[in-house]
Amino acid sequence: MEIKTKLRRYTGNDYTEVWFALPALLVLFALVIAPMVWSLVVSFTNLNLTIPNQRVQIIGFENYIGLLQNGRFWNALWNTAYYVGVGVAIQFGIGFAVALFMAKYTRGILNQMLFTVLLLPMMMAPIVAGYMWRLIFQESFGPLNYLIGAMGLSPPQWISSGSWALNSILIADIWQWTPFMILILYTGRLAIPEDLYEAARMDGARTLFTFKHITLPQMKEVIAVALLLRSMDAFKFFDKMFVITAGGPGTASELGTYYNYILGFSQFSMGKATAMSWVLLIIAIVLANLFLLVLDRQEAGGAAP
Amino acid sequence: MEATAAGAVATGIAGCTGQSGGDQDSGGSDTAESTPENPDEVVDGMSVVHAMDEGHNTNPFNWNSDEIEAETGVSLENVIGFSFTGLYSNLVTEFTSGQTSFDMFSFYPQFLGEFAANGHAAPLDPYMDIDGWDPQFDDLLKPFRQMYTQWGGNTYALPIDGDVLMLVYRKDLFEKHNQEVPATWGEFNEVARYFTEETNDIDYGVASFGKRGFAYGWFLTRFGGAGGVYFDEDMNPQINSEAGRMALESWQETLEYADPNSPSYGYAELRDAFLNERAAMVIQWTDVPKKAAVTPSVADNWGGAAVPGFDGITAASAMPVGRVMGISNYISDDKKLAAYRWAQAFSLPKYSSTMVSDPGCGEDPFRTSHFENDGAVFTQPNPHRGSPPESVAFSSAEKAKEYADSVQATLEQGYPVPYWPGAQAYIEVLDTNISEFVSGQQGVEATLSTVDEEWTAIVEERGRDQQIEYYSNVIDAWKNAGIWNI
Repeated sequence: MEIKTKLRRYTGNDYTEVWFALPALLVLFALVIAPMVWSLVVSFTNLNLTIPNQRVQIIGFENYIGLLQNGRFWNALWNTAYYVGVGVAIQFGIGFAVALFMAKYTRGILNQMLFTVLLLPMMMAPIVAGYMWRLIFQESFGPLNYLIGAMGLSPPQWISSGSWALNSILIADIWQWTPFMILILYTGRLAIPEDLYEAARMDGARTLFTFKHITLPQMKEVIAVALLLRSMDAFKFFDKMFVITAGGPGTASELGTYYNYILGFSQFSMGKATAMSWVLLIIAIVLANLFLLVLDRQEAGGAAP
Repeated sequence: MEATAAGAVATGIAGCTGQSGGDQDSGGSDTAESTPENPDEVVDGMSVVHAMDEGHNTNPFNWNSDEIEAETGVSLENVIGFSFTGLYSNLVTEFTSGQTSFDMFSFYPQFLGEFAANGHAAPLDPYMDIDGWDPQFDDLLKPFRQMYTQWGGNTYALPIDGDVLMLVYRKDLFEKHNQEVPATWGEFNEVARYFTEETNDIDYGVASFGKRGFAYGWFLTRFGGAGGVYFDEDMNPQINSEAGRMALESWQETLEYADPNSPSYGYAELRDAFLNERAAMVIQWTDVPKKAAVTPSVADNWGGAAVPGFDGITAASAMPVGRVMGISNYISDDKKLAAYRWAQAFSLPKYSSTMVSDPGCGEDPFRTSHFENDGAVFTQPNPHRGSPPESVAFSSAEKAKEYADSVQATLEQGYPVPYWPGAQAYIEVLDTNISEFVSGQQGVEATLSTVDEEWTAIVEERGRDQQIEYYSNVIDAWKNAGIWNI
């Protein structure tokens, strides 16, 4: 009798939401939580799929310590930081400038044409864009070096030079994802009431003053979202680098994601690979939260009298 | 927690590590212990799927499939292509899942020990004894006979491509400028300097392989030529040695005169640097003269020779890549039988002679019969693709003989690539560091000491005693093949 009552209670209206949510929670657990917990466990083992009859052992933090002592790991991390920092900054700079220009000067069919053209790179699969840029960067017969040579200049070694390779990938990524910045920032700029600009003009405010005290503060949230989305995306970047340089020459353009792939699917050293995945995940979480924290503080500061 | 990989990681990953078969120590599902009484009838009408690195080397599978089907009753359903440098990654990923989308697969012999020990490749010995199914190993060139096919006393693979590095040069330019074919690395560097700095007839004296994947082969050819060995008898790395230093210092000098794009050059780019007249000479695989012979700009102007050496030391030609065919151990017994039958027919002289002589693919000679009559087969069209003119490699018997002689000469000084379980781990580390060296990211000493440290770590990770045993067995095999005289 008591069981029946309890059962009726849990199947009653008060718990309807729970029952509806349960399948999704189970799927979430099976597809996200459980594999993550499993990978965390593996990261503390010496599991390597290529060693015959290996005795898998818990080895504590050995994989993590090994990574921190590994020059290739730091090289990959530095490349990733450079790629995210410089790449997203350039995309933002160009994107913001173009968005403001378009919001002020372009209208009607010109706008439609511009947006169509801007959307093209984003619609292209990254792997296709990678192959396209690999051909463009081709040093012996590529069109870019041909044009540079025709102008009497010395063409750079886009993918053969350790100092150029990462920048070449950056150029390809800037080409593909700057339009994303433009679109987001353009819509953010259009959302600012024109009355504010009108009032500033009537007060005799200069363009720079208007930008600093109206445009920037009003677009703060949009800018933050655009930067956060692109930073997270750049942090996970893999495909175009894989196609254009495959981390080379040497390890000059090897990013964290690619080194992680090498550990997992070239060396099949699953303990080290999962440890690296967790290190990258923790860095991403810390960075994202730092970013949001700065944003929150700015908002709190802005609200103060 | 301590458990075997197959047991403890019961939730899925390590259970797929392939401990289920093949290892000379581990035993397992070596399911090819018995064969049916009527194997030809069993395989008749069956179809098989093949996996390999994609590109021009898949062509012979299409050229020969109809005739092999008519001959054996086994049809080739599909050829799955993986990338040249990603073959290991793709194959092992499939193996670890415990089932494969393919029945037979081409792979580089450097994976042989691992694939055999982990039970990924099925042992072929029982099939080889079937009447009429002999793979004719007696006809294999000695360097390819044992180390390309066997592990732990069992046969796991059939050779289909006999790769070795050789020197390919512009004969016309060498003659015009009175340059001798270099016999030593010192002469090699001097010729490279001459063509780069003192003539306008060609852009550079030399181009080099630098891309990750197989750059290690270009190091090994100098390292072996300097008398270098991989490990001592206690499995201490011998890379950070005088031989390693000689190899890298001589290569460093070469790079001073080389095509500056060399750090990004893989097989295709390096081949094209020669074919497109950017470089006067290259160290390349033995298919490049065939490609040169059908490229108008260099058709009659190429020359071939053995890889140079160091003064007073026997030269060495590294043998990276090469291809063999294995049978997946994760398919049914009947499928294994059918896959073996197809692979065996494919590797026989009837098909392989016309394959290795055809410039339309990259497979290279690996049988004694391929060099019969001074390489006459290299002047013949390929009947298995309808005998088109473009299937003829060399226009004259002289050129065919020159090719046959130079390939055999470079093969005589062949320097083998590691192939015991763990070999790929050593090679990956070496290759990455060599690529960093070629790109100028690190110098001689840093390269050698980094590889030394990482190899030591790999030895410890995989078990020193086990590695000593594997390495010792492999050295014996190399000595038997006559390619390890150190």
